[in-house]
Amino acid sequence: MWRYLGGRLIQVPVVLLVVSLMTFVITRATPGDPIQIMLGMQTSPEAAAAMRAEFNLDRPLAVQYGLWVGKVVTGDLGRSMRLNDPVTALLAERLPVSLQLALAAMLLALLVSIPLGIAAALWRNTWIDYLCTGYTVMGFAVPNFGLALILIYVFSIKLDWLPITGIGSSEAAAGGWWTYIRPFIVPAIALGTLQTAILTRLLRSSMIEVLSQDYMRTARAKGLLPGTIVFLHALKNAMIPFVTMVAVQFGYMIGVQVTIEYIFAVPGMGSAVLNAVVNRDFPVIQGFTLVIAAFFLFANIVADMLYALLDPRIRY
Amino acid sequence: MSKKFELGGGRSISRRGFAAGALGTGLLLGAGRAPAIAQGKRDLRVGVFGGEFGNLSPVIRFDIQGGLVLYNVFDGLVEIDFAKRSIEPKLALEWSNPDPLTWRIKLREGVKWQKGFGEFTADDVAYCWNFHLESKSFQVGSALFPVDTVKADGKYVVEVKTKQPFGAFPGVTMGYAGSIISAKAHKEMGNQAYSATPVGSGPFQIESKRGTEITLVRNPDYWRPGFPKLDKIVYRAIPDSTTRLQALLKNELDFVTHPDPKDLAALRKDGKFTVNSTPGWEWDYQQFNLKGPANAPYQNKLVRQAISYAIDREAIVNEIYYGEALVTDNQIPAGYMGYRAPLLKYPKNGDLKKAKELMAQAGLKGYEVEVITSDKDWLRKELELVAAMVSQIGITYKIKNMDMGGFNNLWLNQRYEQHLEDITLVAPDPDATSWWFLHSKGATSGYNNPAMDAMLDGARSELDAGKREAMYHKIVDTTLEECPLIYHCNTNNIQVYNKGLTGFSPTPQEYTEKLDTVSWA
Amino acid sequence: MASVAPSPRFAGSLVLAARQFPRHRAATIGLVCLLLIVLATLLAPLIAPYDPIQIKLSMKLKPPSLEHFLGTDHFGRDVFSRLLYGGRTSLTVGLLVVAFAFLFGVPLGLASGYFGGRIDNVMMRLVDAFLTFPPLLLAVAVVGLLGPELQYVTLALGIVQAPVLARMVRGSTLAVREDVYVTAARALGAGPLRIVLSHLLRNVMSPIVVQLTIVFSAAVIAEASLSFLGFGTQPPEPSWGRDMSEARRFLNDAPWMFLAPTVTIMLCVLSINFLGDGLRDAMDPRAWRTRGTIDPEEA
Repeated sequence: MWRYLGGRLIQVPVVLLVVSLMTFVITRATPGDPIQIMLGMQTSPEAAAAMRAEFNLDRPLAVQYGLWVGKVVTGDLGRSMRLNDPVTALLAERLPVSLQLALAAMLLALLVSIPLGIAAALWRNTWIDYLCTGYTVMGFAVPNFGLALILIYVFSIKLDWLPITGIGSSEAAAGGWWTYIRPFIVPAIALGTLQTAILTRLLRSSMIEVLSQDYMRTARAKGLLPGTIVFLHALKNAMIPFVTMVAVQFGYMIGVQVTIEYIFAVPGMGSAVLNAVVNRDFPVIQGFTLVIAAFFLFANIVADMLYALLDPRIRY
Repeated sequence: MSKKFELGGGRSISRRGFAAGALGTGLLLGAGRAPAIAQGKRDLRVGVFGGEFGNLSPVIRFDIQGGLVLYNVFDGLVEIDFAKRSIEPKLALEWSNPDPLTWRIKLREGVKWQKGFGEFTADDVAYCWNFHLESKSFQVGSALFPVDTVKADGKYVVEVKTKQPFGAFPGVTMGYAGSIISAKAHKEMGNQAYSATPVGSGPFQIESKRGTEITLVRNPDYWRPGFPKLDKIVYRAIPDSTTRLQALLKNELDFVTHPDPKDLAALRKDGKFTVNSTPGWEWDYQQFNLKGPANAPYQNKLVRQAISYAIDREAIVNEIYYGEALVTDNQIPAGYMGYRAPLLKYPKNGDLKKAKELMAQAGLKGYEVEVITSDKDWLRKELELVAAMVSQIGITYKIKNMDMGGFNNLWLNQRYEQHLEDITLVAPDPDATSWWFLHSKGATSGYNNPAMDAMLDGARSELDAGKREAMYHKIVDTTLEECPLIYHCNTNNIQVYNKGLTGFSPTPQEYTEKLDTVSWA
Repeated sequence: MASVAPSPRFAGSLVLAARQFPRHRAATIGLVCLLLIVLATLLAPLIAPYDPIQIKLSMKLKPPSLEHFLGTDHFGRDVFSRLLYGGRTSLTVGLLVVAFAFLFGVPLGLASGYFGGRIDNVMMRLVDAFLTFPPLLLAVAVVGLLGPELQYVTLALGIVQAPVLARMVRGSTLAVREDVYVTAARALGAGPLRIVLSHLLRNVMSPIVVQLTIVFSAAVIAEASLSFLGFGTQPPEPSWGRDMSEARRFLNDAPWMFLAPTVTIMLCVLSINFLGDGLRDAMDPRAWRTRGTIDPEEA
């Protein structure tokens, strides 16, 4: 088991290398000179050349990549071309916010998906199940920004219950825990709806799967286990893929936050990358995607480890 | 588990919110709207567009939202009086031009740098401008290009030698490049740190800066007694204009810039907020790459004029800007030397008949062309509207929306055919409206006309104001005839803020929003 | 655990599936709905009452009426016509992405699953790398940097879906690789290509089909998100996502502008999802169940 973990961990740098290479290729394939784009119409060729040299953009591509990797290994992700701050400083600002939003969304998702998934499995093919299916497919079907706009319209404007902006602002931070959390609510619902749908479906189908297993039937046929214990036993087994999916989805959420971050002005990772793409800020694009990918990778590893820990049949 | 929270000065709003929260869900949710302004409120929450704040140092290129902050942290050498249309002294008390190539600037005494970095002297000006020149910064291109040497002559006098006579020196060089940095702070902090949290001599100083939020506090050493009136300003970058305005309406902000003009009519009727809409020193325009393929249909001046006649500028102002813009067909806006009128040649609703005649004269039934624009959604809508307008004379615009980076790449390398874009004029001098776009050496120019080049260079070095004005009239007339650029309108600078605020004077400069005179009534 | 159930021939299973299908009511509705939408968008030039790009300022922001079935937008264009033509863009992108995912994901997954060993390792590491990329960000990066043309949008969305499909196909392939009849075929001297094509592909086909429906709906939504952020297909061609984003400002005055594309996207995705469900249930014998609460006796 530890050998498996070790094996997976060794693969992390390899995968990250591939990811960073991919990002590197995409950014360098961009038409045009980013320096000129950034410095705009009023600059001199010398200033442009100086900046180009500073960011190593005048060296051959392989050298550029090598230099970048070399710096990353020492923990230096470079400096943003547009903002001049070190990329690590920007990460320190943005990552916590994204994590908090993802956490809020995931908590909401769990609150809804666990009861809903169980109910749908226990009373499948009845109106409860259809309701659940209807709700979850809505979760898949409505694009999250569409949902966000509707939620804003209803809860923030018409009813005026909840704020729109304010995540991570100094005002929220100075005001106590409820003032801090309030701006997270609407975006978390919008963000978490897709996850709720996925998790509800998963729990439902894995519960069904487990409850119909041969050993369950045998146990019941033998009259061994009364109802509630059957249910709890089934639940425990059904939770295995569920828990691992939670881990995977959590890691994944950071990447999909972009539209939500845009609408709600959330100072998170997604909007940072969006701005960096628009401004051709290569160091930020590379640094941030690396971190997001690493995050997702670790979430996957955690998921697999959980799977192994919880399911006695799995032995690596 | 309640966390002990800190109450700063003037935090009564959040305490009330928290107490209400402790009483139960219904009341919690009901406490969504903060109560009325507490007496003697002295801070301001400003929502600006954009995703994050870039550089804030005047010696490294800054963008519009950076400028909004910067011009409250730095006082300039001069200030523009938009009513009188003159250049007024600020940190520079007097300036003189003893010979055509020399300028002497006498500085104000007793101005202190923020955060204890000493007194503002001529050494700072010399250091700042020399830093620009040596690092070949963006100011060298736009404002310091005529400067040969800068040196301090005594504690409060700066002597500048120019390479050629430059009539626009006070407006352009002292104006646009007039935000001076503190030599001492810059040397001590280094360029990087200084760019992140610069030290200026203005009414506010930077207390903290996060990616999307900047906090300014009043400068206790400010040279002007009685100013600023506010204690604290918090700037928040909110990219979406609808969200920004909604935040204002929900009292999450006190002041916003660049709201969606569509909502202004309702806001004005509503009466809870003050709406300022000032014609700005910026224009929406179309440009032709005349350095492009020689057989392109638009190389024919008659075709370009036809397009200009086909544009219903008033419809653009009404549909895209909901009336919050001024139609114009030439590059010099009101307030500039050389201004005559917003419309000089092309009628505000266009003249379709004339346009078709010109096309017939040019011998063209129509043509197809790829037109690019950047990522501003009002411009994208404008291009859709303009495309519909020119389709009436047989021209098909194939729209290509790009993001800013992609657009700049094609534009600055003259790899486009036609484009539609907007531009903010950076300096209050007519040179800024014309040279860059019309001179063959201008980076943003797709035009190559030696006669125009001569006029532009001549107007630049001319020291006599009267003669300069006449030259700019000629430049404008030529532009209107040749149409290398077609101008649509001057968009307004719009600010919407809480009715309790007074003292704000709007300006036509998009990136200048001085908040030192603002206070809560 | 290798399954010992014999695998039906795919064609045969299609017949069985087709017979099962109508029992799943939601799936049938979904299929009908989807066909209607696709047909409507295909026949747009015939059905659309107005030109979707003709600007008519005098008619702007009119509510739904007899003249304009779903009202007009801020430029006076007929919303219904724009919906029909917009579907062409969105559905085209969806189909292209499905094709891309299929063409790249399935062979990758099959090869990986069948050959195993080093090939599997290398391919899966590559797939992992693509999977760890935040999908929307990758799309934004590709389209933002390379350009908003249809091929880049397709590439951006397909790069994300193909690995997911590959992973899934690999899993299914691994499961059936050790089936008795496969071993038998190998013993009889059948080469890998034949085995893959005639045996393995057949088995993994049903989960592939189901997954492809998910890919399709994800692509439609992703295209809408990209258009919303400003990175999608170009005006004046209508696009559901872009129309949604433009309709935002008018939510108060002209909600039909926003609701029309939103509800259509929803219907589309719902139909595809129900269809996928139905297909899965129809093709997987173990899922043929009847109504009621859990009754394990009724297998």
